Amino acid sequence: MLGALLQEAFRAMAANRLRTFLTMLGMVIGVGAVVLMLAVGEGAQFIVRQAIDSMGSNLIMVVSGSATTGGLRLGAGNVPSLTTGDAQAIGELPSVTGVAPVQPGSTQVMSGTNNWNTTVSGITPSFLEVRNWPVAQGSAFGDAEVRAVARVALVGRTVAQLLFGDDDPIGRTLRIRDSPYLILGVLSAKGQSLEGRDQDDTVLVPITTAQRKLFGVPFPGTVRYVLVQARSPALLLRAQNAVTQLLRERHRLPEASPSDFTVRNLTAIAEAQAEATRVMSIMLGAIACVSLLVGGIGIMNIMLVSVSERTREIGIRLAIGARERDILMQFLLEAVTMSVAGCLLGVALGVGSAAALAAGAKLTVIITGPAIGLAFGVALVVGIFFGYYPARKASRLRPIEALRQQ
Amino acid sequence: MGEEVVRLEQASKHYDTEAGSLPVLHDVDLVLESGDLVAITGPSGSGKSTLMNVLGCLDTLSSGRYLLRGEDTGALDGDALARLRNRYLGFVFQGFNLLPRQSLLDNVALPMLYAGVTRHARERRAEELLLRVGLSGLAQRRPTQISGGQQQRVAVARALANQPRLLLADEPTGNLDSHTSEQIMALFLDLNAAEGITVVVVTHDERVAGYCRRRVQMVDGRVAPAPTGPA
Repeated sequence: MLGALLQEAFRAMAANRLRTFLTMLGMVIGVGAVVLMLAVGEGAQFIVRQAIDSMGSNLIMVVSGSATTGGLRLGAGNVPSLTTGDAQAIGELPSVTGVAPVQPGSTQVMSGTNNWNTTVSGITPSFLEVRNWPVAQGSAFGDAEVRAVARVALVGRTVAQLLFGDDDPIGRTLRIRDSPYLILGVLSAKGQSLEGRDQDDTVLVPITTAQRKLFGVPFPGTVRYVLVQARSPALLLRAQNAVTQLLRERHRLPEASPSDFTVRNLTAIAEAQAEATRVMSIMLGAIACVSLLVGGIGIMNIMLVSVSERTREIGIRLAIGARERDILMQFLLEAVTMSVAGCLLGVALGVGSAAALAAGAKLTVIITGPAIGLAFGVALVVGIFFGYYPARKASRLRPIEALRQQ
Repeated sequence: MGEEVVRLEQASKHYDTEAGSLPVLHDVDLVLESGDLVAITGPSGSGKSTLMNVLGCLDTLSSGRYLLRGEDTGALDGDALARLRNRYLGFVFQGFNLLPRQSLLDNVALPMLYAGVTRHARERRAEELLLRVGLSGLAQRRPTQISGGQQQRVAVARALANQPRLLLADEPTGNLDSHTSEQIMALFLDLNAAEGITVVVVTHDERVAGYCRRRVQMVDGRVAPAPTGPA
């Protein structure tokens, strides 16, 4: 029975090919749009997730203060208000598991005839733990090197690639500001940060080396910023407040005066961005679903026309013994066949255009099974929903009245 | 005497129109037995088409009873009536009423589809029926590719699909020339004689009515008193 009804549906669709195609086109475009938009949204979410994972978890960033000198207001980090001593004190807070003072700078690095301008950051070994950034080859430097103000370095993937190509950089010498640094290890790849910066374009040296030999600091022991890792996501806010209070006490700031440092909850910022991306992809999908709805209305429209054109046929079928549900099934199946066929073409269109977008615009797109399943499901529901009314109208026709129609 | 197939008792039908109630059938009493071959004749507006629709379970009575093979049709819902049409009735229309997009074979097989017969059995029986009406070579043709007389034969084959007890033909020769009309009537006579199917033909063609053993003359929605036997 179902086979015969399907055959009948195909026959009816084939009888008016152009009309069938145009009707399906709404569905094709709708499903194509849904698949494409979900792929784009999924790609964007993937990038954000990757960036968050690479950042390290439960992170707070404390940046040293801004300054106002003679009406000129300098940005955060320009006044050396944070010290390694502050970092140590923060590390003793109960809500904090890790703390990493950082003194970054930008400079030219050289090896042999190659050179490159990159970020050189002075760090302590805890930085690698806080950032969840293991060394891929070789080994990291320890507290001994920090105490010894050693000229050793860890290089990021990008720097290693640019300066040494395929050669093994470990044990080689890196020249930074005319001083030789022994390369101990190569960092594992991190990829892009949330702002789109290449995190692997970096060199890490002991913080003492950066402070005393490489960049020099205005006062001994000052750092640009401190990364603080809270014990758990639930303790992030408490850690943030504890850090603020501790530093104000250590810096002996009176009640009324503003803080000479800034505390930023990096994890909260990242999660807000992830949430924004998620909302964006849901919105893209929802907008695409509107076009599915429009496609469905197109199917309903044509099915209504088809029912009134085929009133006599319905009358004949009723006269020779078709029941209401036979007629209902026939027209419903025709609508569903049309929307499923449109859906198949739409998936092909969506996948094709997503691939074209990935290749052409270098956009990360991810097509997932559930996304295609969703598009299919929605198309099926739309077909049944918009096919039901015309099919019901057909099945409710009275045989003599239907037969009388010419 | 054969078995009773149709019994109409005090059958009346009126249509509700804007101008008030319009009566079309008045207290019609009619009994048809298996093997009957009946012509229903009468002028336009005499109610013969309505009578045909009532007999075919396409229309319901306003009052009175219609028993088909002893079953009161007044108590049945739409699906039950559809089942009766499917199993016990066969229709032949003036305008043939074949489905134009389907092959002759599929047209003939269609009632069996609604009866739930398997595809294989449907097609085999449809081939037999096309052979029975003398069109066995044309199974895959479309209705538009054959003549009117041939189309009406296909319609007869379709009406026979589920071995009906009652064949209802509404002006079956109305669109055919006299030669083809004779062939169709010969087919009805043959089915009636060979298989004992009750055949009812609505016509105003005297020659067609002349083939039938019994005649029911309709006048103003009533059955006129029967003239004396077959001519």
